Amino acid sequence: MFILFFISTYAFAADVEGILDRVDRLYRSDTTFSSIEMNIKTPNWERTLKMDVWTRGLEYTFVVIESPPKDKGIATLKRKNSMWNYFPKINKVIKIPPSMMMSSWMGSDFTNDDLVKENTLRDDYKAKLTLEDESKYYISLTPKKQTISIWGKIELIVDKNMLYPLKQIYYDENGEKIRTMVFTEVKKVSGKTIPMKMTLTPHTKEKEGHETVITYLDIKFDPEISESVFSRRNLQKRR
Amino acid sequence: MILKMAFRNIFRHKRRTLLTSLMMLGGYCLISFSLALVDGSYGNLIRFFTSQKTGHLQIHQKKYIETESIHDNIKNFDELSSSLSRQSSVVSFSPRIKSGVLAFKKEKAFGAQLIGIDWKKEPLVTTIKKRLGNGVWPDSNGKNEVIVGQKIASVLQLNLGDELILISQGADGSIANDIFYIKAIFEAEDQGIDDYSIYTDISSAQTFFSFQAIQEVAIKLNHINMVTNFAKSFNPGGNLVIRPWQEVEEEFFRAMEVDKKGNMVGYIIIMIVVALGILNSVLMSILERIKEFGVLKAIGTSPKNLILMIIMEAQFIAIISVILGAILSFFINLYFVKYGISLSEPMTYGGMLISHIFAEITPRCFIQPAFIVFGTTFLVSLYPAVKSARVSPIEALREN
Amino acid sequence: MLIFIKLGFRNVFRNKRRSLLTACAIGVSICALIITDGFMEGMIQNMVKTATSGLLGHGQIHHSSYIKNPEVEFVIKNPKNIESKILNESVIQSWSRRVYSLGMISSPRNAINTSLVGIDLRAEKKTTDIINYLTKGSFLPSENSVVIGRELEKKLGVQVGSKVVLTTTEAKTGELRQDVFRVSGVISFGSKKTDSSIVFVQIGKLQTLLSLGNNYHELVLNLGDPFQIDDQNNPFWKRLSFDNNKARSWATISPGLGAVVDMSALSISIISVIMGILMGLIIVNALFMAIFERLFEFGVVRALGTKNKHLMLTMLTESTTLGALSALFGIVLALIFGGLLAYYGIDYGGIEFNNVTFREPIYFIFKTHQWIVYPLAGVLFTTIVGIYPAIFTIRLNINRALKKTL
Repeated sequence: MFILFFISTYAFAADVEGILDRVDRLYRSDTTFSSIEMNIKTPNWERTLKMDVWTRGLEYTFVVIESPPKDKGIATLKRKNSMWNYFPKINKVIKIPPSMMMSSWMGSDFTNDDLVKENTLRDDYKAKLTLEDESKYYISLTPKKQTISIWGKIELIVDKNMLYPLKQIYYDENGEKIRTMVFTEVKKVSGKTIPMKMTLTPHTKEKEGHETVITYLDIKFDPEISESVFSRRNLQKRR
Repeated sequence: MILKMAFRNIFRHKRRTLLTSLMMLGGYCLISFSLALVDGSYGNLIRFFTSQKTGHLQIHQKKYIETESIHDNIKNFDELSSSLSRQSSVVSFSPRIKSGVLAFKKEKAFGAQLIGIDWKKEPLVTTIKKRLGNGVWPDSNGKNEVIVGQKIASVLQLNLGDELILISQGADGSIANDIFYIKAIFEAEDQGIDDYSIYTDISSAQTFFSFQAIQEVAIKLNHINMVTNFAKSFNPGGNLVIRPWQEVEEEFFRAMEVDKKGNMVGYIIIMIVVALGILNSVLMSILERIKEFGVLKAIGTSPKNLILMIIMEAQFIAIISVILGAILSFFINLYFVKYGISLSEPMTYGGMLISHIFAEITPRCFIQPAFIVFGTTFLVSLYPAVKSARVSPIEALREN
Repeated sequence: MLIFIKLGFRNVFRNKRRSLLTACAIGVSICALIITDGFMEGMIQNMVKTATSGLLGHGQIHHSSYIKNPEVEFVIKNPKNIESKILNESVIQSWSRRVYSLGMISSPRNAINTSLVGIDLRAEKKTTDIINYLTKGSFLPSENSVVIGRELEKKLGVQVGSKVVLTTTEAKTGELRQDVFRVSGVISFGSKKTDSSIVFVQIGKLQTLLSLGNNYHELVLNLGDPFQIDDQNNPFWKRLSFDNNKARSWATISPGLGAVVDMSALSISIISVIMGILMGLIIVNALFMAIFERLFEFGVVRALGTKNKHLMLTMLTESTTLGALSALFGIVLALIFGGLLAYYGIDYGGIEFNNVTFREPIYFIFKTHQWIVYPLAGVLFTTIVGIYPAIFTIRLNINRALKKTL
């Protein structure tokens, strides 16, 4: 769903492609199940959502909101290129048209780009190691010609030791910083050392005062998840 | 003494006076009628247009005008409400809450605007109730009942009683989603002002969007001409602004102004022709009496007095004409205010069906023609008056 | 007989000042009518030409379902048939195809819902003027170009050369489709509404994105002169409406525009009536002044035994001559002002009226009927109005006339 990053506990040499691959699959595996808390701050309101997320590869994602009570039961299904939402209050499944791709998902600072896209840093971006010091790798990424992405450049800062991302900075083509994602609270979970907290901060004037923080409360890699989870019928199942 | 002479002179040349005053009378009435017609046709257009949706004035939070965001709202409507109720020129006002929604029926989606209104108050400010096609006007007891425009109804294939799903973003960031019920559908119309609007009651809308404020208050005054003054004098308080319809519907206003300007040109031409007519009359009648004026000079009237007398004569005729003209045009205009000019084929203008053009009586349709008549008469009598005063009595007496 | 006519004619010139002033006043009225007519004509032509050389075109063909409900799946049925039919219609100068869809355009700063319009650049250039509405950059030089409305430039925070992503849904499956594009140009139609919700791409690219194959939604026609076949009842439109497709003239598609034509006809009628009354007043005034001036003379003439009908003839000739003089004066005046207006025009630039923004000044348009109808009407009117004073003269009591001086 989000451009999620995966880290492995194995330390490799500065093989950029390898690093990117690990970053791409930070929170992904063949399958994953995670419990996530998302805190959204805007100048007008603040909200904290708790949700359960199932994924299979990069193409299938299923999200159910557990809290707050008002939104409990709202579910989102993404299968390849299509997206559906389910709203328990009205008990209806709605297919998302592009006009509903409001620039933010659930009011957060993640754009619809982040949701629908199946871009990986490794395959869809040209990478260059720009700097290296004792603790960090600095990698600069530009989208390949056929890559569908609005970004001009992404700067990735990776921990040299454990190869997990520290910071990701998104630029437009004019070199202006548009948003920054900071990774913190590194923990060992299910055999992997990964940052459990991501803070996304937009830098544009229109989005002043906005911030989205995603905290992984728990994440399980490669649990048994049946195909039926990623189905429309599953959306409507009353929980 | 001179004035008395001037006055009596009028009656001495009855026919001439009659002809001249007829000219002035006719000119006065025509200008007055033209003005009444112009004011009337625009007045009606504007009244019609503003009564559809806009109202005479609107109040918003200052930032809302630019952002149209649900967050820039009017928080204390009660206070505003009592303040407005105390204004004698306010006939009615209606609160509104609005924001964009996605309307869903089965697999189809339609981007629209959900507008929460007071079912009782809104019809007092706009003609919304008259636009109903099918269904009934909801009463205040229902919840989540909506009225939609023909366009949404046909695209989503909605009938009375159908369910309509609305999805939007709440003011607290949550996803607003709920089922609404079609209580009525607006009739089809050319301009489609309700094409993208879905109306419901305010409390249902507030629940849906998860907030308790409103975005807009539409106001209706006793008379639309009071709008500019009211906008200047009324203070809505806090960070709220009040704007007259001319600002709210700027594009319509500008188009009207352009059109009016075009009409003004026609009007100016009428004025010129009237002026020429008066000029004709007055000039002729003065110049033809040069002999008479020569006599007056011969018996010792000072040039100054002569000029004064000639000018005053003309002005007296003008005064009589204007008074009569005012009375006559009052009745003529009144007729057209009531019955108007009926068009052989009704036409649409700005989406409104027009079958009659009505006149409107305003102060200026009496004042302006008066100015023109007096002004022209004065200017026109100046030259011949001076000329007559200069001519030597002998030459004047020789003229035939 | 002739002598009475000659007399009437010469009578007019006896009091040059009055005749001149009267002719002036009436001439101005006639001139006013001519100018108003020509200016209204100019306004209409301006508006219609502007609208029909823009997105509207002179006529359009759609699938009838698309007209009611502009969904992506309602493409024109059997387009090849229509295209070949078009070849047989000589009045069609050129035509162009368009594809429409709703979608989203995203930049790093913002994502906005817009209309996506796929156009055939070469055909569009021949059919409409929209290429000239470009304010910056160039018009779709490549497959991955977009041209965005001016308001979008601001809202998205992009410029010519910036990268954007277009998102839309495929026709049959409803699946989301996306692709990267570069802004090649910025366009403005003069309307804030249009400029904030329109994005142009090459038609082939949009067809691919929407999986439409070679289908399209709209066929735009250029008929040379928009006024030629604007009547929907003309069989031309029926000939091009088959297979569930409907061909419509600009006047049908945009009825508001047609209303402007009606409105100005109305304005002219009202002005004509008012002018007419004014003219009548002025003439009566002038003629009666002339009569009263010559009361004594009339008394003499009648005492000498002049027949009524001859006197009538003289009087009528006077009024007709006055009318003719006025008409002449009016024509000259109108030629001057009309000429000035035809050259300089009045600039309504930027004003939007009925969804059409005036891009060029409005000029006076010369039409033959103006110079014949209005002056002739003036002469006729003058003559008719002159009947009453003429009758008055005839009925004069000879004795009183001989005694009276004005």
